[in-house]
Amino acid sequence: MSVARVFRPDNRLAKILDGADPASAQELVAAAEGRVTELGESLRGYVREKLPVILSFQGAREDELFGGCRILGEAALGVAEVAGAANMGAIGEIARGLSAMVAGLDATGAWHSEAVKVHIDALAIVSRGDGARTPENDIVLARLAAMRSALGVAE
Amino acid sequence: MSALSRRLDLRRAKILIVDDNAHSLDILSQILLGFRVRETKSCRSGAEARELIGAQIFDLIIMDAEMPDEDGITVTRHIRSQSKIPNFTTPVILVTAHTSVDKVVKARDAGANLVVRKPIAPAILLSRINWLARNSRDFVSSDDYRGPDRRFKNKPLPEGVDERRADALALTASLDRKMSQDDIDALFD
Repeated sequence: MSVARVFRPDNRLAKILDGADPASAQELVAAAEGRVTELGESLRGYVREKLPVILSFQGAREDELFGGCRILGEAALGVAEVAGAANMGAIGEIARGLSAMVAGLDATGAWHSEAVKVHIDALAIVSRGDGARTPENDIVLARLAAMRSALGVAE
Repeated sequence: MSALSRRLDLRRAKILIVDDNAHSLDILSQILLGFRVRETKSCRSGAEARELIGAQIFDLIIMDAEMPDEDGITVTRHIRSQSKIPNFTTPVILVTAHTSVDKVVKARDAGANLVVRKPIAPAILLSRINWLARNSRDFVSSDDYRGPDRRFKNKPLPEGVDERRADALALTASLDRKMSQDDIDALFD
């Protein structure tokens, strides 16, 4: 029979509660958000660099899409991880859905090629603008989310 | 005291950040600089992370769950298997763009303390760091699991209250469901 050891480890992180010159959480968050905003141009440049990789699959044949799914998935994940911070949240969300569908191929063997194509087409439309979350883009995102949910895509 | 007015001093915190995406790593670095963290080590792979974790003591590890070759969940499992190193019990926050129930449960079962959705919102990350600092939790080390004690407090249920964590159990009923940050937190409470 295995025995579990239960103990209370030293919480080294607790030191942040007792510092000599603490700042309010509000100040720290504002400073952090400001720094991320300053990264905006470099992040947008990265997203713009990755988008053509994804959009190159627009209109692709089934075998091309399936054969290139790993490249597609990597580009989509990269965009998903970063786009929101660059105020391109709609692009990021579509890319996240794409990445989830490609990841699903590894996890479950399910390949939803028509849904993937619809996502790529939607990405092409949304990226004609600045790719931010707008009421119009949110409608697109909601429809895509409903599609993925209907297909049982794990996100 | 409201969360935003809490006062914190992260200048002495030593934090390791791990992400294969250079821009994602940049975002994390800048967030931590904004939080006034002075000592951050960063690396871009599970292999580099293992080396740093074996060589230096960190107060917190923030790691991408999705990395090629070796993902953050695997590295977390490795950290939790090394009972002799100082970072054996170091809090681990996994960050990920994909928060399916299945993935979050795997992260939790690997011994992660928390999962935070990407793109990371500074307010959410700071609130999670604050929570880890304020809530010293027992650590369980057994053959099957090594990580924060996930057991609910051992008290009798108040009258009229369902089986514990019924709401959390309901969340895990559908493995395909995307989890919001609040849903994820409920699995770690």
